[in-house]
Amino acid sequence: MSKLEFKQVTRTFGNKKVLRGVNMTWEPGQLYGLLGRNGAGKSTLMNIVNNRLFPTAGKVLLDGKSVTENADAQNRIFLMSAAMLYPGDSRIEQLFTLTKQMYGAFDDPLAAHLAKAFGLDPHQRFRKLSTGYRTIAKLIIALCVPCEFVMLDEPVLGLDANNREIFYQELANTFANKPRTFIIASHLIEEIENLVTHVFVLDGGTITLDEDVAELTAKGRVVTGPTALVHEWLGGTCVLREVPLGGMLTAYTLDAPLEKPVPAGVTVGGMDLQQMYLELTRNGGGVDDD
Amino acid sequence: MTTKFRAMLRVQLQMMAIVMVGGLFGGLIFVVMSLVGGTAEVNGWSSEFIGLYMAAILGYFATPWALGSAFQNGVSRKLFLQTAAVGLIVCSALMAGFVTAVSAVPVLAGTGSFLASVYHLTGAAGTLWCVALRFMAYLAFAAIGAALGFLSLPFSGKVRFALVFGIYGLMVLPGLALVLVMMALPHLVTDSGMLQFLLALVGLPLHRAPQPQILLLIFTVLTLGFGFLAVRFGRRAELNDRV
Repeated sequence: MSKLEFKQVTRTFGNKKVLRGVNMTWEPGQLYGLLGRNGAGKSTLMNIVNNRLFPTAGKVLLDGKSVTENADAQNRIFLMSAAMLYPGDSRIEQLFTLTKQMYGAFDDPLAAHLAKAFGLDPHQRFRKLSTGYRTIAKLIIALCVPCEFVMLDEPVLGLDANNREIFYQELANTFANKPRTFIIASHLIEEIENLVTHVFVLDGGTITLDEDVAELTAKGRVVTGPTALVHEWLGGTCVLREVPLGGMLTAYTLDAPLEKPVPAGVTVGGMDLQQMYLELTRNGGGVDDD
Repeated sequence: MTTKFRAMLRVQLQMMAIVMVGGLFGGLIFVVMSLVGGTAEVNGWSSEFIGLYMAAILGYFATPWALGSAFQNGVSRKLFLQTAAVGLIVCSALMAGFVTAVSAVPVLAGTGSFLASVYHLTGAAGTLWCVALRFMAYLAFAAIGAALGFLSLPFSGKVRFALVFGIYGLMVLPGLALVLVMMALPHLVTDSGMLQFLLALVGLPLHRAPQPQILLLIFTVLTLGFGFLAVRFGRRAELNDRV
């Protein structure tokens, strides 16, 4: 089975270092979440995979071969992004045909089903669609291409809650019917939390978290109680953040000593993915100038 | 020819067709001017000018336009540039044929083809020479446009538009000015040593002797040189707001 490997991928724009040696691996048949603050470099990373940008240093390998200017590799990778790259005067059905010609195949029945589910008229010209429906048109194409790696960069941009719900459901369905790797970069973490199986957090130009969602949520803990007791119980563990309030303290950690008995007056609760992400990226974000 | 090549070529030609249709409208304006105002003499070289300008715009705008579809559909830059080259060759051939045909219509071109009269190209061989010269000239202008188009992709939109006028001003207007001088003052060529030198430099007839082969050579060198540069810049093209 094919996998995509990132080896020290670096990208600079002028004197801005957006990516600083990214290392990670995308395995086949996974639903990944790629999280990061605005300007963290998620889109840059995806653009590098799809050859829209070149890495300044490092490589992205598919089956051990660089994806850069590699026609075979690019035929197995698809990126749906916010950029308007389709000819605006083309009708949606023409874009489906174009995609089929480019990639050699296209799931026409699924495209017809999705167009109906979203209420998209395939005879419409792309340019005349609203922002939300342009996103829907691009999403339909992304779900119907025969690629092993499908990257969705802000896939619900401009979609209302109903259409977002339809998208998540259809994504889960198509993934179940035809497993391939989806990588979703989104700021709506709560909405994708139950969809993705593994998350990568991109912060400060590097991958700061690379973990299964199940394991992560099992580790994340919010500890609340009198400051001294919380400190005593958490002694020696890595705390992400402490929020004091009067004599009380709330501590966020991925390393709670659950084997130790919890002192009276101290409560230990779970931490959802959104909260965990906030704690992990609280001091990061953006890019640094050199 | 792979399916992807055919699909990308179709996208390239769609983009180029927008420029071609725009140029056709420009040409129609001159046709109407000829029919209404009897300005056929001027239109003899107007059609030459439109062809050159369209070729430059085909290279400068239409070629990088298609990059968006290439990036969206996982087309390598190598394949993209191959289809761009084929598209520009097809468009140049079409334009060369079209301008040559238009030049053969007296009401549109007065005494006939401007190029033919300057180089004394007559008969079937002369027509073939005209087609070849125009074809290579369009290819050269398209190559210059494409090289500048790819090079200026990271620049701001304003700079890119300014460059269009740069192409117009630097590449086309001096030639037109020279033509006008030659038409207005036919004896100047024999009287002025400097003008003779300049004309010889661009391959135009010196002492009224036809030298189309020099011009063809110049266009070929320009095509190859700027074509090389266009490929070099195109291979490095990246996604940005101008794509």
